[in-house]
Parts: sequence; C-alpha cells; structure tokens
Amino acid sequence: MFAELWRITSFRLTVLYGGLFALAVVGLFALIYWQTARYQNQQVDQILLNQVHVFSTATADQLDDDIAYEIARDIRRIGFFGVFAADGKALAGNLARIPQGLILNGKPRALPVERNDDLFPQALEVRALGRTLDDGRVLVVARDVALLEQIRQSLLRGCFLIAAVILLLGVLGGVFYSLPAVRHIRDIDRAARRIADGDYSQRLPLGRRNRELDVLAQIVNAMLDETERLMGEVKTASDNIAHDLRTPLTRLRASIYRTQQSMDKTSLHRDALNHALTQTDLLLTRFRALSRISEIESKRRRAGISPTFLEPVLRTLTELYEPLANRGGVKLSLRIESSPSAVCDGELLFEAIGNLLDNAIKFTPAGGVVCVTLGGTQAEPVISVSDSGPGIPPDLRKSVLHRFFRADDARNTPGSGLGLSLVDAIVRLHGFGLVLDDAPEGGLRARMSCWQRRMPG
Amino acid sequence: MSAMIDSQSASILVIEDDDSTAEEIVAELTAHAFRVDRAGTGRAGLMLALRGNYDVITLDRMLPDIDGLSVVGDLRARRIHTPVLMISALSDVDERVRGLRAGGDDYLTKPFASDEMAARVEVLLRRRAHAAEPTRLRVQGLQIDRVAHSASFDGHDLELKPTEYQLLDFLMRNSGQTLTRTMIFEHVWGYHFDPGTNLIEVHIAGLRKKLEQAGCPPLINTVRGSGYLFGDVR
Ligand SMILES: Nc1ncnc2c1ncn2[C@@H]1O[C@H](COP(=O)(O)OP(=O)(O)O)[C@@H](O)[C@H]1O
Ligand SMILES: [Mg+2]
Repeated sequence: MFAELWRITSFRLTVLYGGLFALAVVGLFALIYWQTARYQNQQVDQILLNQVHVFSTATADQLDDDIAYEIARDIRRIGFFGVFAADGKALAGNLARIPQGLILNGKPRALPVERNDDLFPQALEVRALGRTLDDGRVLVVARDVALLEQIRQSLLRGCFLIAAVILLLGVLGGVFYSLPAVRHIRDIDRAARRIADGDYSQRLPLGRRNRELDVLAQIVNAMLDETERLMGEVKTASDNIAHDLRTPLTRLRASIYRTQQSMDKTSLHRDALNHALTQTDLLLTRFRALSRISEIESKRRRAGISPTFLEPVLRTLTELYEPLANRGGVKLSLRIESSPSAVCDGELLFEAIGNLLDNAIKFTPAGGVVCVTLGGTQAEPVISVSDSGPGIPPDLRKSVLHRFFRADDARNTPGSGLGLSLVDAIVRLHGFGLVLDDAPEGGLRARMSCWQRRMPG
Repeated sequence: MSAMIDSQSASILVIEDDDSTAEEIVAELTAHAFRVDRAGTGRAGLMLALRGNYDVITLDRMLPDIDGLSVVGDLRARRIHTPVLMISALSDVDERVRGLRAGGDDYLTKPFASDEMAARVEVLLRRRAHAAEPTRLRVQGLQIDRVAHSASFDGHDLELKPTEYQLLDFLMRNSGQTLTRTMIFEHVWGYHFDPGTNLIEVHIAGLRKKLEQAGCPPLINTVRGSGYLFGDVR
C-alpha cells in the first residue's frame, strides 16, 4: 500500500513539501533561539561589566560590604560574587572557588561555577567575569542564565511539536490527496489488463480529481474507440466477404454437382469433378464456419439459454465421437465427478465441446487417450477435455484461439484453424471461461468453466 | 438421381420473393419431376396454399408483405398441415427455433445447395406419405420394429446401440432418397450444426459393418459429394 502511494507524484510532493516546511520551521526556531541567546548574553554581560566596574572603584573594606549587600538584595539568587586571595582562597561572596578556566581579563564568558552556600543547585552554568584587583585579590562576578535555558527548552519543545504536526499533516494530506489517485490507477490498471487480454470494449475509467490522468485516459480511450472501430470494420469486411462469396460458391458447387450427376459413370473426368466438388465443399465449410463465428460473436439475443444438465450432453457427445476415436486408435473415456447443470445454450455448448473433442482425437496419435471430465460444483461446473497428444506450447495458447491459426506441426492434419475460434466465441457469448493448459495425460487440457465469470459479449 | 417412389405426382408451392433463388428452387424441383407453383409475395402464397392442395410448401422467411413466420402461423391456425420447409438468410440458432415453433417442419439457411433443398423436400413428402407411420419397415430381409426399437435380419436380432438404431430407422424410412450428412445429424442427434465430414461417416461405417456381419447385403450407399442413400440400387 505504502509502496503504491509512494509511486504517486502528488503524495511524494506533499510529503516532500511537509518535510521541507518542517525543516524551515526548525531553522526558524534555531534562528530565534540564537538571536535571543545573543541578546540575553549581551544583557547579562552588560550587567556583569557594570557590577565589576562598580566593585572595582570601591575600597577593600567597602567591597566586602557591597558584595554582601548585593547578595542579600538578589532575591532571585541569580547573581554570584566572589573575592579571592591571590592563592585562590575565598575571602568573601557566595562562590566556593575561582571557576575553572576563568581567564582574569575582565571579559564575560560561559562557565560552570560552584556555590558555597547550601542553596540548590550547587553547580550551574553561568556567564562569569573575573579580574585581578589592584591589591592582588581576584574579583569574580557571575550571573545565572537559567532564563535562557528555559527559553531554549520551550523553543525546542515548540519547534519539535510544530515540526511533527507539519510532517503529520503533510503525510495525511498526501494520503488524502493521493488515495483517489491510487484507486484510480488501480482501476486503470485493471481495465488496461482486460484490454491487453483482447477485450476491446473496455475503456479506461475517468477519475474525479486527477486531471492529468484523465487527460491521458481520454486520449487512450479515443485511441481504443478508433481501434475498435477499425477492428470491427476489418471483421465486418471479412465477414461480408465470407457471406457474399457463399452464394456464388453454392451456385458453383451446384453446377459441378449437376455435371457430375449427369456424367457417364465411366467418364474419366468424373474423378476430377469429384475432386473439384470436395474442394468446393471444403471452401464452403470454411465460409460457413466463419459466418457462424461472427454470427455467434454478434449474437445479443440469448433465447436459447436455459439451465441444462451437463451429464446427458456429455454422454451424447462421447457416444457421438467414440467411433471417430476408435478409428484413430484413441481411447475415449468420460469421467463424471459430479453432475451439475449450467445456464447455457445446450446446442452451442454441445458444438463447443464437440470441437474440443474433435481436436483432441485428431491430434492424439494412435494408442493415446482422450478424457472428458465433468466436475466442479453445482454453482461452478467445469468441463475439461484432456488428451495424451502433443499439446500446445504455452506461448501459442492464446494465438490458437484466433481465426485460421494453426500450429506448424498441425499442417499435416486436416482442419482450417476455425474450431477453437468458434469455441472461444461460444465461451464468450456465455461469459464462461476457457483455459488451455497441460493435461495429466501429457497433452492438452481444455478446461471450460461453465458459470458466468464476466459479462457475456 | 434418387429413385422416387410416390412423389412423381406431388405438387409443391414455392413462396419466394427473390427471383434468382426462386428460379433455382423451381428448376431443381422440376428436375425431380414435381409439379411446382410459385408465389412472389406472402399474401399470394397464402391464397394459393389455402386453395391448392399442395404436398409441400417452401417458404421464404423474409417476404415483402407478410412475414414468413406469420404465413405458417396463419396456415396452421386454419388447420392446414401441409409440411413447410422454411428457407431463410438468417441462420441464427434462435431463428431456426422460432421458425420451427411457428409451425415450420424444417429449416434451411441461404445460401443452400439445391440438392440438399430437394432432399429435404423429399423427406417432408415422405413424412406426409407415411402420415400413419407403419410400425414395421422391411427391406430385403432387414426389418426394424419401430415400437420396440429393434432391428433384425432374416429373423436374427441385430445388436444395435440406440443411435445406431435411430440411424437405421432414419435411413430406412427415407429409403431411395439421398440424405445429406447434415440432415442425418439433425434427425438422429437433433443438433443443427456442421458435424464435419468424418463424424457421420464413421457412424455409417459402423452400422454398415454390423449389417454386413449379420449377412445383410450392402444397402447403405454413398452418394459422392452429397450423402447417403438407403436401398438396393443394383
Ligand atoms: N488437442 C490439441 N492438441 C494439440 N494441438 C491442438 C489441440 N487442439 C488444438 N490444437 C492446435 O490449435 C490449432 C487450432 O485448432 P482449431 O482452431 O481447432 O483448428 P483445426 O482443428 O482446424 O486445426 C490446431 O491447428 C493445433 O495446432
Ligand atoms: Mg479443430
């Protein structure tokens, strides 16, 4: 799901913008903090400098008093003062010792200090300043910057909170904007697959939000309209040719037939005429088959469709084809696993399975087997015809359904390559399914699922 | 051509608006020595059918004035049961069912081979002649019992499967007539599509073999390019 979302540009953009915005917020807070800290440090430093200035003008005795006074006055207890002997011994004030790292140059800097009264906390980070007085003693003045610390913490907290909210909003917004797109793309994907499977009546769905996708889908749909129209035209043209040629062909056949009939039984031309008759019949059969396929394909009325028990149909079929199988040295058997009925045109179903059987028997060499199986449930009956013949390689299993397609090694068996097209047309008319795969017997297995799996057409 | 036993005097009405098709039908039927009348519209056809005493009517499904279906419907409503062969350019399975339901007795799609058309007309004639269907048929010692659905030759029962019996029955009932593969398939199996060349052939071959084994002379003849014909043609 997330991977799919991530593929959507709008989602990625929204998340990216969210991230950048959060980053900007962090930056802004950092800037505010930095500025505030600088300002406060300047303030504190100014105070410290003033204090040192005041203290350094006082006399030695006065200094101790001044410091004691300052400490007493400092009710917030943020000020630190210390007077130390040259050897570092504390003489006055509330500092335990000279803070480490303090350079006695009169410039304020950030340092940790330790206090000598028992107030809490004992050690803390301050701005401190120290200088050597004229009498050699050391004066240290420091000021707690806890306020700054508080500001920093609240700024940080606020910063993270806001960044998190922005990021979350970004992701949520992205999801919100992109989910319809994801769904839309899924629908498009599904439709495109069906089109790729040869269902040219499908169109890409249009969404409500995604303008760019819609524009593309509309273009593709227009292309599909045109393709479908062209294909229809080609098909109509070939169907019309087949249809129109049937009449003159029938007449041709009639005159050949009449000539043949009126001929002397011993005439040498009789064989030639018989041959001509056979060929004409073959042609006529093909044209008839072509017309029949297109007729079934274009059939919209479904008057003949009613619940049909499949077992009797298959029994009649096996009985019908048994002599043919016997002649080819093939053993034909019928296996009834269950006895469901299907909603179908019994006559067309008969014809379809008959064609599958015809193929199985025709392509299976002598000594082989052909097995018709009726199985599945009452709701989902399955008829399969499997054989021990050469089978059809997987890459050809789609092509064999096309008109006139015959595999190269089928050239020596009679046929016109229209049988499976007819089966396919009948399957489509019913909205059934047809799968060609490998048979346990070693050859081809054609499985027809006899329940409506898609809208017929 | 096939031996015609009781059809010499038969009269046929052809209701067909298309001239060339009509000519073809008339020519073929005349060649079979039938008396043929033609009507170019449904109304004219209906009038003729009501007045004349025809043995068979060939009826175009699509007529300029009254639809072919209505013509049969009308005839049947007036208790005229002349066998009707519907001829139509509509080959849809539903169309056939509709034609037969309306009262047609057989259905042929255009374009058709005229010999097949004639064969179908003859089967219809035969059916009319045998209106009181005989329960037994006998040709040269080969006999079928149409009640018990059994066959025997010279008094010995033949072991026939149900379809083999149906096949023999259909052949014998129409002996002397050419029957096309499609007609055989339609009558014996009850399905209306092209069964392919071999399918019917192997069944005929099987039946021939059984008859031969019982000592029966060869009575099922192949008519090249057309179909089969039952009877002694020597
Ligand atoms: N049972 C099968 N075993 C092997 N190949 C098959 C089988 N059924 C069909 N085929 C292949 O599919 C092609 C198309 O079959 P079909 O449309 O029935 O045409 P035809 O039977 O006239 O050759 C065949 O020519 C053959 O190559
Ligand atoms: Mg085939």
